[in-house]
Amino acid sequence: MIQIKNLVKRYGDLVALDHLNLEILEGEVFGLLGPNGCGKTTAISCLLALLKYDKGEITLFGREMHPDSYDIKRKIGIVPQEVAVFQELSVVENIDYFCGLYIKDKVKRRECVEEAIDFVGLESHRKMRPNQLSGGLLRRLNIACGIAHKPKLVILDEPTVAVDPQSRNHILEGIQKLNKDGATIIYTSHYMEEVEQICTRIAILDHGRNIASGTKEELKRMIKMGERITIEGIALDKEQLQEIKELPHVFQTDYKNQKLVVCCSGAKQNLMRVLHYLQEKEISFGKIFSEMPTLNDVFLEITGKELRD
Amino acid sequence: MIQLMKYRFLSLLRDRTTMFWSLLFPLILCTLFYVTFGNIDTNLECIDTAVVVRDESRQAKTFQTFLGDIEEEAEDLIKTEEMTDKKAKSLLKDGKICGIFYIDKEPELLVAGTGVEESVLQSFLESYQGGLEIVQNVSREKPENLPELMKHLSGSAMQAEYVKEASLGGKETDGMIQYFFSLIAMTCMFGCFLGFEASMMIQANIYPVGARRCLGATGKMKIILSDFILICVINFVDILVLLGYMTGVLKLDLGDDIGKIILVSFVGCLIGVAMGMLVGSVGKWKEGTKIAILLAVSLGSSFLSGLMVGGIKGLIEEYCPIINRINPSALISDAFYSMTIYEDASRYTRDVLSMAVWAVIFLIGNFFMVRRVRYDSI
Repeated sequence: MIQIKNLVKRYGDLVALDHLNLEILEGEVFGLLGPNGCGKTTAISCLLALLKYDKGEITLFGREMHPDSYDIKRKIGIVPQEVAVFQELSVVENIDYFCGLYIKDKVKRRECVEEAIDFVGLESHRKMRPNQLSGGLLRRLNIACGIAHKPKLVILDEPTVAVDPQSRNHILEGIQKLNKDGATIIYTSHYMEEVEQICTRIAILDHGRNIASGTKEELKRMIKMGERITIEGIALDKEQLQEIKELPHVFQTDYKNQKLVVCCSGAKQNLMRVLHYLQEKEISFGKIFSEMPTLNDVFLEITGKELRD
Repeated sequence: MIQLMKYRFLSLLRDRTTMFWSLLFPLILCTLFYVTFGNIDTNLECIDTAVVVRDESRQAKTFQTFLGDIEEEAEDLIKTEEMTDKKAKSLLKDGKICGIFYIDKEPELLVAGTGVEESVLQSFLESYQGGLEIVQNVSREKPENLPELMKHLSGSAMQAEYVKEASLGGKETDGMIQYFFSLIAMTCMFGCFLGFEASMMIQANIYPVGARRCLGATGKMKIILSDFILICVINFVDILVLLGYMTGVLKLDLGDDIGKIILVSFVGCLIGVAMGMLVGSVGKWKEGTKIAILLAVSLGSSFLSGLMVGGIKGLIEEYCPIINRINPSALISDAFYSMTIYEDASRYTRDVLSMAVWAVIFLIGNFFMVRRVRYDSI
């Protein structure tokens, strides 16, 4: 559905997109994950023919996108990072206005508007103006304005920034429902949990480059860490710490303030081995739990820094 | 397109700042103009004055004759009535007359206030006393010139008959009304700010709403045209309200050419809005830069049209007339000017047509500036 090849975008000396390559297939929820300033929004803006770019090729629905490619635009719904609505219009008026940029038929548009209001759960706020809505409801309105015309491709640029957990869940569930109904989704975020939760395929961006892409399982398989074991309320001496480090598949330990983090490679039974050691040495502890690697671990291992840095 | 216009209309109508500047501010300014200028004319129409004769001498009678001449020649300005001192003072106390002239060898004026009317009465007395002094000096030093002087002074008293404001173009003019025409022209030019704002609203690098509108499947020309028509209508309705207020509430006499005034106002709206939209679309700068450009252009055009400093327009007409032909402010003010000055409508027609043509050119320019645009940064 979308192909981006060797896309380069410079702002003066700053290279915002550095030979970016992406391919997005029909029907997937594609996540663009990366820290702030990594080039996610720039990539989206180039894709939508809003921004000039220095080099590269972009095709949407098999065609090159231009600012006046209205037949392509009709198939796209955009939910920008900033809330883009008219402050003087009510919820229903805003949705109807933006839907009207795509659908001319009044009856059809009315149906679409009602469905969009229902979809984002703003029925009881339909006559309110944007300044009367909370941050979460405002974001829902922003989404409704972008999806009311039932696009085949929905691009959501960080739609959950500054949103309360309830609205966030509502938004994420809504995105999954849109996908289920047949829309292809591009979802940009720097919240890895969200991307992990909803995206079927993910590209991790850093400094304008696609540093890794694939399903979350594929991404996690790219790194050494297979399991992270955390033990809280534990007192260890140097010798014991060294012995834990030497356990099979353990490649890294971090011990601070009576908290031990043990990173193990992908083999199974890591937790059992650690527990067995603690029992054998009669070392008491408060709490123990095991986690699978996150996308942050992927990012950390590939770039050497935290995703939120 | 109607759906787009409907919501843009609601959006503009609910924007209190916009409505204040485009509708209420001209009304407030008009009221201030009326209070400042309008009342001067109205109150000067007739100053009721009492005349109390204290002395029947020839010298005293001269002043009475002087007052009679003034009343006769400028009947709308002063109305005198001879009465007793007691009655005159009573009327003055009640505010029914503005002053009392005492006919005496040394004429006197008694007033109860310090307003414009009292100043006018004072100026009559001073004028008489000045003339009397000249007569006395001439009769003392060059008595042979006295008949000639008397003839001249008599002419001065009659001056009001011959001094009547008129134009070379053959129409009578009222200087005060020109201020109200300038106000209408200014309201037309307010359309420039409305057009500018509308132009900003379709640019992705300025407003998020602009980005969303750019990404819609509706052509830029349609969006620009719908905004243009809507804002012109709003601005024109504002002017009609202003005209209604001037003629209906303030009872200002704008002349017999109300149709022509409405036509200039309408075309003025077109060019004002189109100019604002064009300025808003030039370049890909951020909002602050564009506002600075708009202010420079709008203030510059007002300056060059002579709305700030008189005579500039004439100088431009002499050395670079093309500026007067493309400057919206100059065209609007010139259309009003030629409408009130010339019987011949050719200059008025030329101004109106120029404005219409430039409005179309500005609008097309705006479209070409924003169509198919890709930004360097957002």
